[in-house]
Amino acid sequence: MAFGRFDGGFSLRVVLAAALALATTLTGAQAAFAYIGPSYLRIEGVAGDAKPTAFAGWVRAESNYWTQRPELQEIRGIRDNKNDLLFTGSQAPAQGPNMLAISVDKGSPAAERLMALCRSGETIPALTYAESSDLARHPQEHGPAPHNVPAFYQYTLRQVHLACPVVAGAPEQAFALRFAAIDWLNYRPQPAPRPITAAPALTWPGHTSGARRTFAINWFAAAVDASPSQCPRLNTKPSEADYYSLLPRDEVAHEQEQHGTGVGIGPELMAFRGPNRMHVTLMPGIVADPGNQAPHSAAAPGFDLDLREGIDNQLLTVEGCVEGLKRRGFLPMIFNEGRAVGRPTALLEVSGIDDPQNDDEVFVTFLYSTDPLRRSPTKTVLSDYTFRVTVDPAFTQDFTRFRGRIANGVLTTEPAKLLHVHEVTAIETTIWQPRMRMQFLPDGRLKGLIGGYLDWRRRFTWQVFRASDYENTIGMQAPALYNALKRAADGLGDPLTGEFNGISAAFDIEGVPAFTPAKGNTQ
Amino acid sequence: MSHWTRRNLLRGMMRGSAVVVGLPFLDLFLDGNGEALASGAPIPTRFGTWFWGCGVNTARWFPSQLGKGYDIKPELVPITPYRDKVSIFSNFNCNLDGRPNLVHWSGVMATMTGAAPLKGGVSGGTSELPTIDCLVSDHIGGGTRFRSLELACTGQSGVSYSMRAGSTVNPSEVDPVQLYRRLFGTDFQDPNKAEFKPDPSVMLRQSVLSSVKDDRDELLRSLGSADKQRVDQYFTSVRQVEQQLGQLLEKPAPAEACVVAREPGKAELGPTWDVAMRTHDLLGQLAVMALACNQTRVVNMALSIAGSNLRKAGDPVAFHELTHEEPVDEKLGYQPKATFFIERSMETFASMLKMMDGVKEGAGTLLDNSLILATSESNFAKIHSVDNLPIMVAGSAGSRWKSGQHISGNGDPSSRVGLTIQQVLGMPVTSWGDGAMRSSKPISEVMA
Amino acid sequence: MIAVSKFGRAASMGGVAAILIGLASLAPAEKVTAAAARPPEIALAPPGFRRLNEAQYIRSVEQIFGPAIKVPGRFDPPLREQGLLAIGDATVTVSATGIEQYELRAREIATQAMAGGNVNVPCAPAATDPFDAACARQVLGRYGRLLYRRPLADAELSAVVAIAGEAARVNNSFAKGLETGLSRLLMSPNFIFRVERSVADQLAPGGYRLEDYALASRISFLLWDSPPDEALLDAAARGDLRVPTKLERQVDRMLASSRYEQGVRSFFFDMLGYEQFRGLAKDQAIYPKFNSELARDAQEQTLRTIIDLLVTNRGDYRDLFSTRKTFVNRGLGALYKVPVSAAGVDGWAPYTFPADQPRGGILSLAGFLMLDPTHEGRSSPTIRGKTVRELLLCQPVPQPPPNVNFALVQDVTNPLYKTARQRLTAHQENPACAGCHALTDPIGLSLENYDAVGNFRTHENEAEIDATGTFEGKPYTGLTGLSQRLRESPDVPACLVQRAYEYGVGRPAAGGDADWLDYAIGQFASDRFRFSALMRRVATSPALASAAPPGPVTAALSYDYKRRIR
Repeated sequence: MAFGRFDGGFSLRVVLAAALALATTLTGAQAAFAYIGPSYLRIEGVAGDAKPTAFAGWVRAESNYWTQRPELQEIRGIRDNKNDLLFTGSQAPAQGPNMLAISVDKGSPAAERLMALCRSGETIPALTYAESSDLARHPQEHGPAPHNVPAFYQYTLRQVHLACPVVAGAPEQAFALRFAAIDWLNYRPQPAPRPITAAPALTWPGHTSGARRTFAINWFAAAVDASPSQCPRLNTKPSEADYYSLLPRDEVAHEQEQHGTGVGIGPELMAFRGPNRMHVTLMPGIVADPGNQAPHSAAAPGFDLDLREGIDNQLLTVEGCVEGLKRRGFLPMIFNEGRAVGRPTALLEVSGIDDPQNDDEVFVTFLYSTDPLRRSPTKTVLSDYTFRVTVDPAFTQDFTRFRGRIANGVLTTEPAKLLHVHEVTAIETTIWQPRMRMQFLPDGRLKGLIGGYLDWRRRFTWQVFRASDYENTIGMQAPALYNALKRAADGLGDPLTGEFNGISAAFDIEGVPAFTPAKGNTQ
Repeated sequence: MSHWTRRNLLRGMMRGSAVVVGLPFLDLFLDGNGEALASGAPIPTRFGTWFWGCGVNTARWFPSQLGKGYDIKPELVPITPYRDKVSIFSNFNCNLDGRPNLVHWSGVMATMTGAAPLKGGVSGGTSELPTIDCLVSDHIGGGTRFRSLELACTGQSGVSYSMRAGSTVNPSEVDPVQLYRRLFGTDFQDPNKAEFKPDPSVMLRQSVLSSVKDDRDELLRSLGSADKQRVDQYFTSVRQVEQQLGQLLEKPAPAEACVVAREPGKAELGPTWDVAMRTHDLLGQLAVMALACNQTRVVNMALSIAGSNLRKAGDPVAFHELTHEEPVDEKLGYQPKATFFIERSMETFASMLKMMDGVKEGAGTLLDNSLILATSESNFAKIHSVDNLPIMVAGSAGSRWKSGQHISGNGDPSSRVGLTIQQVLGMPVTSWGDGAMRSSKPISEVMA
Repeated sequence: MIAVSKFGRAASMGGVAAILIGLASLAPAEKVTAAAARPPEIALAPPGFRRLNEAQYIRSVEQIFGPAIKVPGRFDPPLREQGLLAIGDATVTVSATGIEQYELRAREIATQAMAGGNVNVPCAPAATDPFDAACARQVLGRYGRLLYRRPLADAELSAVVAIAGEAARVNNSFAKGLETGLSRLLMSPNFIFRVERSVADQLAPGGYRLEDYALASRISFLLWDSPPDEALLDAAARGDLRVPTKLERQVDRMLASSRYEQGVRSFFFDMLGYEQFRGLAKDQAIYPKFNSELARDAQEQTLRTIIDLLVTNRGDYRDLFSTRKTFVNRGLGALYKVPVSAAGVDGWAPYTFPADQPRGGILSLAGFLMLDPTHEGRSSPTIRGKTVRELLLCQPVPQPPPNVNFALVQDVTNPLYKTARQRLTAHQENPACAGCHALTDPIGLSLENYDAVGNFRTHENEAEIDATGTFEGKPYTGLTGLSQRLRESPDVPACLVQRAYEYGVGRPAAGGDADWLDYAIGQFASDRFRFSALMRRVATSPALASAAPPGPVTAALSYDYKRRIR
């Protein structure tokens, strides 16, 4: 363990609890060894129903991870300043023997055929597996992949033995593929992350006529904070009982002896509570859905995105009763704390203002600065500081400009293509078809909403970033959240499969008056 | 929760092996003003750090009133008996200024080294500069058997906030039995028996001063009457310092309060609360005796690692995990389970103060002749905030430190506290720290 | 009822009338030069004994042993007397704790100097003996001259060499010997104090003058705020400083030196009372942008503005009260609510306040507006008025009489008195207070559009602020109006001349100085108020070089200086 800070003398659980506790990592640079989202298998004699032309007839998996016991995901930017502009290649094992875990939708015809093959116990001499090189990236990497990277990494797994523990009521079937050897077909093992570059999304300063007002963002979080009255019950984190529920009796006894009962199960163990100790935050469909506590909510903050009846903020129905996602909950608080230290600070510039009350054309530009917010000793964010607009390509690639109008003091914008909001130590939020509604408050501050669609699978990954312990920290169960998000998905429809990849959401955004340098960044 | 009271813990401790506290100091050894012994030898000043993990609840810990006689908030109740001996510092920050906020690391290193570190996290990291205890022990620790003692209460010798710059810590003693043998085993020499040789370099300093006095007559010749008096004042001051040096040439004060304790019995170590508390009090008693017996001048106590793994027996979730997991109770306005550990931590600090204040030295106590810097790495651990770090300084360095005040730093770097401590201990530093944490402004309110 | 005011000298209620007379305007330059036809009389004062302040001590060590030397330890606090720290330096001595620090400091510096090879040892000690007295004498003599700012007398040097010898033998090391010798020199009052001597003046039988090396120090601390360099000491040794042309050559050399800027900073730091920035605090609940960094920046901003106008651009001193050209950094930009340039986010950048900003002149900068250690939660028109009178106009304001009831002034919540003007008007119904407040408040109240940290405001407690005032009988409105009045006031340049002189001689101007001061004030006007011309005039003046024999103060110094009304 790094720094040799522990010398044992007490239970392993406690060492891990301390050493691997939230928001820490002792491992080196490491990318995703797992992801939630489609990957594809081609197995002789098993006809699948995968839709993409490249994989027509292959078996589609809903989630996957390599190795029998994946490590905790590395959080970048917590032990030093992070760099988004990296590309880490495939994290598949370089050679066998090893293991690949996948989950297949029980509803798909392929599931049955795989089960049959599995039950037959026969060894599959060879199969082909394809995983998305984009989804397999470390979730904090951001920026265009190098040109020579295939859309899908493909491998031949040889001498594959299947295991397929059945869990009643689970929406997906787990398969463990133990293989003797692995051939990389279109990519080479990459020892270390590669630096990449990105082009600025727009030039700044742009539109300059009329007045310009700049705001430093001091709050950004999903508008999912349902009131206590709307949440008769909050979601709960997994219990000791959940951990033991799928274990064979004798193993339960042995483990209880090892950990002691009532001592609880550490987060690093808790995730391995699936059948055959498979990982349920990496493959949340493989156990029965514990059910998600949803808010009884009539009104929700947000936008009518689809121009059909009502506000589209399905995210609220999924996350409204999760303690750690409330305004005073862990994730919003800690991300906004991070936002304040300038790595980076988000800026919102409203330019082309001719009349602050009614103006038929203004421009809203979302920018970044690496100059920190200033706060008073009592931690109120201070107004009127100057922020240099960063030239770091990691951030300039995400500058976004909206066309908007002001009516009776309310600023609304047209949708942009997408908005990527950076975080210091977390998975970042990408909003598709983003639009804003904002007001300038009398004291000079800005308050508003950003609406749009999130990729629900990425949102789920955001929730279980560390691949385990966020369940405890934010107070939820990964399987419940996964199924709830899937059910609530209502946007970004996939033309091939017809399924929704997106979920409608709204985000609170607040800013204090700020400046950008008098003559732009140049002298 | 009743069986968690301090009283029970103490009883538990006594049932283990109590350590005999020193005999009352015999006042007849004192001169009139009671700060030095009749021999003229001054009582040595000691320094210590006391670290607890995971911060406080701002509203329940920091007093609202500044100055002496500050109000005591719920989480500080345990230190009430020592309020006049404990200074509270609020609104002293870890100014990151572009450096990362390394969770459970930046805050403590900022206060201890005067520099925000560049790498680290909950399990430790690197420090840009040496921690203050190293600087102090370099200054006052020489001539004693141990330059300093590092102690940790959870059985992990890696838990230590004493570092020379770099990434390795000065490892902690975690077992009272081991500590006892190191201190009072065969190598122990009775400080009152050791014989004494005056230091020639001090003699030299003395003769430099007396030679300075040769300048007097010539000066008086050339100056007006008003200035003559100022010249005389100057040389009076020179004479006083000459006499102070003279004291260093005499045998030091007998360590009257030094009483060698019995060896404590073997005991379980670990991070469960009651075990850690018992360990703290045993290590504490031994450290206090080591100070009273002039075996060392500097003691560093770490209650736990910053991302505290302290937990109640039978409770799966440790303090650090609680700070992040536990909801802030809407009615109470804080996290009840996490706050339990904050309140107990303050009780434990009070227990350390009690032990030090129980040793009489000169007109005061060992505590009065010491400065103990107590701090944590966060303000509100739930979000790892490093503004308004909780900082206390106990003792008065033999009345060189005006104790018992609550002082606001108005957002200044927390390194001001360390700078002030070094200056009060007579170290020749005008500024301390690095980058945005560098400070050259001591806290004059506490300087006597 | 006489009291000594914080900045001012003893003044009585009776004295107030005199001060008011002093406000009469300066005669036009030509009249003054006419008056200056005859050489002005000069008052003779006994030589001074002035403690080096912290900055002077540090600069001395750096100048002599190199910039790498770290000067440790704490210094006794400075004392402000009669308007200047420079006058206070001539009244303080050193406490026992002060000596402790000097002793420790002397050893640390000597060790660093020897270890760092910063001491030039031109000779090698004889192999036989660890101590080579002749060599030590050579080295210690050279550094002694630099430290004492004069050559050492034989006996003095022998005493130092003797102690060095003792040390060399104890440690069996020549270097240790020299090190101890240096620390002995650093401990001497001849280094820690500026010891001035007067000597008989051959040119004027029976007359006295300041000894050459003492004059060299006066000039060098006036212009550089650091000790004479070797060139100046050599000039003093040659007697050059008694030859006007040669003296001027030295002074011009020093004015052209990069050290001159530091000298100007030090002078204004003193004149503007900037030691009060140390530990300045404001209530951050009311002024959240305030912190000690902002206070430091406020001080630095004004000093940079002064240097830019007076040194870099050789400008007119009076323009300090109107110039919109200044420098800002990120914190000040936020305080003034203006964007700073990219460079200003990291450090300092030049900035010119646009016409629509209520800023212009040093009074409108935080360096003046927040400098009030006595009020943390509100602005004090009285203190601001007092500061303008005493620091900028050299008009001492008496202290308030004992046991005054300030309840009305301090209660900012009283709905009857929402603004400071209302509170102070009520307060002045007390005749005991009216006299002095008449001096301070009209000025201070016209600055009420700026709160206690310098934020601009139009209202206080929802009531509109009335910022009208009168100065020397002339009405005006607001800070800009006052600044304009001050820019026109003859008392402003006159005060600068007086301070520059007092700063140079280290004592308050006295009645006997009136003749020379009035002359210098006139010359300042004909020099178009160029600050460097004033410094040059003071540095080369017979006034700075004059001295009485040690002894009782002469009659000429026994009464206060008041500028004569012509």
